[in-house]
Amino acid sequence: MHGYELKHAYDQRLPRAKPLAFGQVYSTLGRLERDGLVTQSGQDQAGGPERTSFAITGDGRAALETWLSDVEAPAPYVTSALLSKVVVALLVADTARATAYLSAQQQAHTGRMRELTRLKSEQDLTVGDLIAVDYALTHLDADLRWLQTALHRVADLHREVHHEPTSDRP
Amino acid sequence: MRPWLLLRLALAGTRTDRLRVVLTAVTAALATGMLLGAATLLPTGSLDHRYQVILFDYSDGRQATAFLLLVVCVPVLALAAQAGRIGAPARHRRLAALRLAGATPRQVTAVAAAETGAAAALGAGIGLVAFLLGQELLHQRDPNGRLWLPTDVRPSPLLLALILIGLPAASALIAAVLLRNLHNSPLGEVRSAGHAAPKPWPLLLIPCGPAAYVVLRIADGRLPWPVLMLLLLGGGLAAAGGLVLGMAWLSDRAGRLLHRHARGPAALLAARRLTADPWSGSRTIGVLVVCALAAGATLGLRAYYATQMDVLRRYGETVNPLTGGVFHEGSATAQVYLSALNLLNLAIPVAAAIAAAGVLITLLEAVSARRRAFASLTAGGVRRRVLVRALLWQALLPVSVAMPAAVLLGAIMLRLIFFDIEAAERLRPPCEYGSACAAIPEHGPAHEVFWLADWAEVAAVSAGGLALVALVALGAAVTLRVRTDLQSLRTT
Amino acid sequence: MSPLLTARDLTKTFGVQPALRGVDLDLHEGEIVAVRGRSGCGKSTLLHCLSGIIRPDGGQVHFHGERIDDTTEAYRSELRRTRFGVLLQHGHLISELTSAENVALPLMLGGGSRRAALAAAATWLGRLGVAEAAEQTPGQLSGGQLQRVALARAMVTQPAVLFADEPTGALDSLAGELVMKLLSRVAREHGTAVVVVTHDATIAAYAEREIVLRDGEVDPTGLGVAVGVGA
Repeated sequence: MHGYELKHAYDQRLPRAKPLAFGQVYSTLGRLERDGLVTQSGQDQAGGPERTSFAITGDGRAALETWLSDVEAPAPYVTSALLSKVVVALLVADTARATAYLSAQQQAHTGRMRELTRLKSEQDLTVGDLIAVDYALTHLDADLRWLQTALHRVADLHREVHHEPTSDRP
Repeated sequence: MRPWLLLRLALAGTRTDRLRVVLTAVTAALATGMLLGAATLLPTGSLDHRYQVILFDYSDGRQATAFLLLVVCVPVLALAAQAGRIGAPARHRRLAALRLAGATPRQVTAVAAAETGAAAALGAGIGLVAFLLGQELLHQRDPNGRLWLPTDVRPSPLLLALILIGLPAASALIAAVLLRNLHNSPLGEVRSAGHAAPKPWPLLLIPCGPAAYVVLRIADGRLPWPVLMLLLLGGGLAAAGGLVLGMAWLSDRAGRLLHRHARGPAALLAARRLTADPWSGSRTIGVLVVCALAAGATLGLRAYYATQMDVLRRYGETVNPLTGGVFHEGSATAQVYLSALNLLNLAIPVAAAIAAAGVLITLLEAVSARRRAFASLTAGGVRRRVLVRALLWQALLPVSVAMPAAVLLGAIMLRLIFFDIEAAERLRPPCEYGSACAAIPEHGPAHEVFWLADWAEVAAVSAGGLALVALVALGAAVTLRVRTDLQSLRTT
Repeated sequence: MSPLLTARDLTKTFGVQPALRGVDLDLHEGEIVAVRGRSGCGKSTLLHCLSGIIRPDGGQVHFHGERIDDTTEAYRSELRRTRFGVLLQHGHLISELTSAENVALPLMLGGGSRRAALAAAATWLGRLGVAEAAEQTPGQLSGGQLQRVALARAMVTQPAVLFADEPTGALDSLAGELVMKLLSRVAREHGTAVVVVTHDATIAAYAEREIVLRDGEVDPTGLGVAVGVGA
């Protein structure tokens, strides 16, 4: 894939994320090539970096899998890492891998929420601490709700594409 | 369950619940009074002429009055059933909450039966006291030593016990039966997949009434006492029950028909409401239809006496069906018939009053129960005029069929158990026995004179019933303004 | 330790819609379990089947090793009164009785003395911080107070299992937090197991583990929806 195709795909798939600058694309590609995760797959006649196409290597695929199987630490602010990981999982990975990652991510969030809730109930916290814990809980809840909505959207779209009736529970 | 808990739970109620108790007691008192009156009059036996109201001197007159009382009793019982439905949704919810808290079905049934049974027992007691008091107060002799009414006769102890125990017991039983869907689950009617369309089977009950009366006619008084009463009352209740229960099917069909031909929003609204809840019609107008049945019977009685009078006028004499004797115009019996007619003229307004009360109660309750729906419709911009018209359509459509049918049925059923009228043309004046003219027969062949009911009167009663429903519906609609408060749309 | 309450292969259909399609569940003594899922996934139906409010069409429910789903309505009512506590979203208190009478109701229904029942009710109302509401009727209480009175009623017989269906659904977050804190505290104090049905993750966070339902079945992935990828 060419560099500009990569940027185009990124912008299209992750429209709300900060758009990539071309320079960033090529410097990242360069680093990935240095680490052996992508390789140059061809050169067009015009030459020059814009015309080079890259392909993912076996090591690269392994690194992607590792990245996908790691959960993002549940933190009270929406990181673009969480956003992009979920999008990649839903739109790119296969069903089994996506399910495994999403399930694990939700478990991590839920576990953290349990910890925080226990903290609130059991310990004598100051008002300031309570407010901070509420902040964390509310944002984690927001993350989970967004995750659920994203799942449902993709599921409905998937069903539409495959001409199955979309679920519309009473 | 401990008695104090039963009492506390049975008495726990709002203003609506107290109203229900009062109305149940009042209707029970009325019904008891009428039943006791009928019980006093029914037993046949020869009595000498000792009543001012000449009607009561003759056993057939007494019997006719007893029948009439029984006939009017049925609408009162229907009114009692109607009264029992006031505030029913709230009570149902309360009992469901009780079930959720862990009360067994039996405990919940006990609470409901206790409330209704106690109210009915209270009413029966009041009715008895009122009846006895009435007998005492009306126990007056005129200068000839005649009593005004049969106030010297007491009903037989058996009948007395039957009435005073049977009425509360029956009402408690009915209250228990109506709660049967709480027996299966404390959530009551959990989400069912929509109401099943009503079946026409209850309509089959209707012919059972006339059938029972045909049996009575064929048996011609040769049956034992209790069987007689059973067939009489049972036949009447079967016909009434069939009409009331069959109205659900009628409402459903009428709704569908209206929906197909409806053109305005009011008619469409009414059509959908009729099919969505076909039983509301039988609840609202049930009493009216039963009153129409009673009115039909009364019209039949009027027709009987009127025809007798007519035969008397035309042929100068007529046959007393009970004794077989011939009596002439101007005789005491004619006076009897006149007094009977006057009495009957009283009965129709009474039935109408009962009917009006019944219809008003349920319409008001239905409107208040659907306050939320009305409020949301009003909030959505539906003009009140449309709502009122829809209410009228919904109320009048099934009634317009049921009313004439009920009146006719009542008249027919009375005709079945009542006497035929025979008349014979007098061919010669009375002669000395043995004289020449005795050779000629005195009377021509007896032929039966047909009587059923005056058609004009039937039409009038039907139209009256329709007008009554329309009036009451309009009255309920007036309260819509007060009741469609948007408070009821609050969700918290 | 064998589970306190087990459900095997529960099925239930209303009309044409199957609400439960073979659900298994194990509940151990003293544990708090949350049941989550989208609206209409069968959570409330599961709760009703477990607590004996309705009978499942198929499957079995065992409590203390004894089968309860095929018993009579009267038996299950007794069970619900003595061994289970039920807390629903809208309280379902009797609006014509006072709070104290409502809380005392399960004890009184069992034939207990009025005085003892009301005394126990007063204790519980105090424990949950609504002692001042004792003589008021439900109509006069706020949502949070109502739910705490309902909780008192559910706990007054010291049940083995407390079933809660969206207990904070009609409450704002602080009122809900108070109810949930009290609920988990008294449950722990009395060793009562709790099954909480909710769609809210902050409420489910009060539980030790959660079960997610999807279309009437348990979803092992915990996501509540089938993942369809590729777009």
